[in-house]
Amino acid sequence: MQGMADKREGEKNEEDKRGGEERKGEAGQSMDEERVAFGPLEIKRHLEDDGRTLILYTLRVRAGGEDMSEDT
Amino acid sequence: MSEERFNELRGEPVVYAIHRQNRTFLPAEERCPLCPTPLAAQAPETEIPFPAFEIAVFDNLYPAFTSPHGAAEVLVYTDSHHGSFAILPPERAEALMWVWRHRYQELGAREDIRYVLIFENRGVEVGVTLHHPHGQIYGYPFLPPVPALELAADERLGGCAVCILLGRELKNRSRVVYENDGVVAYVPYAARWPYEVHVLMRKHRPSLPDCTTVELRLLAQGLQSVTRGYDALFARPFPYVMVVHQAPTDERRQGHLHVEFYPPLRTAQKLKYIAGSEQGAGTFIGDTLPEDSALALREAIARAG
Repeated sequence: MQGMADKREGEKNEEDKRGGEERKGEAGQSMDEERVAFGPLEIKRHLEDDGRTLILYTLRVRAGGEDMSEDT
Repeated sequence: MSEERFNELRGEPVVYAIHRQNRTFLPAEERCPLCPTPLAAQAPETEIPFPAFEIAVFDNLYPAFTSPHGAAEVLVYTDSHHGSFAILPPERAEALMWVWRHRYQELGAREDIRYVLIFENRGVEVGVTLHHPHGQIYGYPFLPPVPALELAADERLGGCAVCILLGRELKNRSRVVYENDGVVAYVPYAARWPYEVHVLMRKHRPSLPDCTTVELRLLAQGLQSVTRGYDALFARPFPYVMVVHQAPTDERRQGHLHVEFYPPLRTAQKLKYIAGSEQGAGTFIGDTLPEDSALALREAIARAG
């Protein structure tokens, strides 16, 4: 099970928590939102009312439009 | 809740997820649950209630596996209803590799998941029920038979089977259809499907988190080149099953990241069926030699660019 521990640690290192917030979904349902960075991606995680999770991934870009993949 | 049983004669698990019988089946575009929030008030609610998005992952409404006995997720490539993995903008395809990596790590860290399988079913010929470009991710609470066979091949060959097979293909070269600095794609020596292709990492990388940023980009490029070549082969959308094979997540047993394509077409209009010999004896009977398929695919990939 050493691999599991390694992977958990790696995940912690790769994710950069940006703090959570609560928002209203477009359809009106309440959602908890948490934002993290992962490599070149920004991740927004929403917990829906029925208990399922929706994750939105967005490619972060520099001001000049260049992707940030090489930074990770 | 799904039920897992063990088929003693086959020596394999079978999962019953009877709630999936009622899952959404080939809805009209205006009722697609993978599109962003519809503008029409009378339209059904989407699974992704946002006016736009890039890539989305959500728990499958009709899951084969659920926590604490695994996971089933839907991975939506784009908010556009039309298109395919092959023609995603390159930066989106690369971002998708990072999403795969994230889901592998996060699901793989769970105690109830032993194997993470990322896959895409493309085309009604392989049973797709939603046309919107998307894939799926299953977190299995057990090690499934096919990945287990790959690990057994490592033991049988006395090392990483994928590394050994890659070395043979690069020496022979007659079945190689595409390569870049990060990946090599070939029709396997003993392919089961007429146009089966495996896309392998050149270097021994057990899983996506072991890849460099550049390797992820090259993997995306390789996969898009192969799928564009598929579409060019018969000048039609080419159905396939695409699966990502990686190391099991419950222990550090060695796997080798590679992507396998199982396309069912044997000609532009004819399907290869899993029939008597394949089902009853477990022996595939091929109509096409892998070397001939590779030649046709090489030309198609070159045409597609």
